[in-house]
Amino acid sequence: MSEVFDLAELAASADLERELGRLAADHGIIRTRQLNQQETWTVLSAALTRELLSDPRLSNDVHAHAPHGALVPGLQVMLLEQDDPGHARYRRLVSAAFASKAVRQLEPRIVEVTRQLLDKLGDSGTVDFIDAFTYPMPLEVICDLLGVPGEDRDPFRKWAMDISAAPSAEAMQAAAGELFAYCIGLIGAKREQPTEDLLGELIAARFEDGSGLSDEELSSFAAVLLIAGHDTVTNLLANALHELLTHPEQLAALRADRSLVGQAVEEALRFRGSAMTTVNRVALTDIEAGGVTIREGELVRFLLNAANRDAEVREDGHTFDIGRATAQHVAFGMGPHFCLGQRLARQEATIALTEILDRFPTLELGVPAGEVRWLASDAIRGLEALPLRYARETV
Amino acid sequence: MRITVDHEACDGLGQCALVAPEVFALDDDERLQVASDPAPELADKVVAAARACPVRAISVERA
Repeated sequence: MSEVFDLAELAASADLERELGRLAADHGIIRTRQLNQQETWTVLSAALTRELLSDPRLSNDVHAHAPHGALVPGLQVMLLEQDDPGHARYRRLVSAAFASKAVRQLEPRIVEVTRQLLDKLGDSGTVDFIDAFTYPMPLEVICDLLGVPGEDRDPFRKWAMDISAAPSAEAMQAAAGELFAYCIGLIGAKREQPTEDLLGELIAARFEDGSGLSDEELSSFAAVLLIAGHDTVTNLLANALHELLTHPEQLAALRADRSLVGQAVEEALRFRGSAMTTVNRVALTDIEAGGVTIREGELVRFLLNAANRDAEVREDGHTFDIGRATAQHVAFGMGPHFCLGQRLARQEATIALTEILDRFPTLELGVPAGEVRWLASDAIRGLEALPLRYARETV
Repeated sequence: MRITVDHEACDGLGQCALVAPEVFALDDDERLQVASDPAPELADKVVAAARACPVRAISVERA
């Protein structure tokens, strides 16, 4: 197969996941063109995804082996663009902050932020729910966790949008540069005046040999945690609401039995996860996979939303069904780079859905179902806006 | 083969159990349980499971 696909174009123009399902029936792996015009292999099938996500012949350290595949040229993104054993050494520094116990302790704050935002909506109205809720909620939570002052939080939405759904490689790199510069300043300020938050802890953290993190490493950490820590949840929540509102029988089932909320979150992750595509890997040697040869030095990424609809795994993959006891998805990836923040994402989504349904017995799309617009992004799966009509009374 | 788990580092993510469910499992408290005497032919799977751990909490010495 020689056709090269443009995922961003597909994402904006059609039901991407169904289109990918049609492609995946014949090809477990396809060629795609990235924003910077680089061509990469893109894995679609669940079997190949599971096989290759833990394959040591694929390296995340594109800076060392294929600099043209880097997210931002010359700027190695902490954890995402690292290989073991170094990756695990850094990850251990932050894993406690995202462990079960730590995430449970965040629950009251997540509930508080959620209620404050919902209070602002009043008794009834129509708003873009992304603007009013799904964007600010996780941003507040991750900024609190890391220790980003409240007055600094305004530019984050633009940076996040330009990084994950940029119109061009230049726009993406400019936003990443601004974010990185901000983080350098933030780390500097926290070195001067130590704070009790995750960035404060990272500044104080020491490896076994007594060494600590450099300003550049700390800024890269801050940047990746800030962006990955809110943009993904923003879009996951919006996608989950969109699916529930366009599948009224599923919404009714959830309203009738609220213990299904966890399953609803898992099904939203499976059906239309927000972190649609992984970062690039580079082949360290020739690899035979899915009937093709990935040559040494070629880039490979994983389209998790395709794997999660794979007909080989389940025949009814294109059906949104919160009744599934196990959604069995790879929305958070698999293997050494399995999502650091998955517990926080799940908890935020669960709390938010619960509080939104409690608050608004009336909740419906503010535009006809076919008229929502999907982001033209090959990285993040999400909506440009989610207009919702809501009321505290049943209408 | 000898399997050692650093329980301090283990984050209970279960990535090892996805690769080698014959040997690794999480209990209800997300604590990692390791089969006591895995069959020697599982060695490759166990090594792959150790590699799948995001914090490298598992080390394996082959017999």
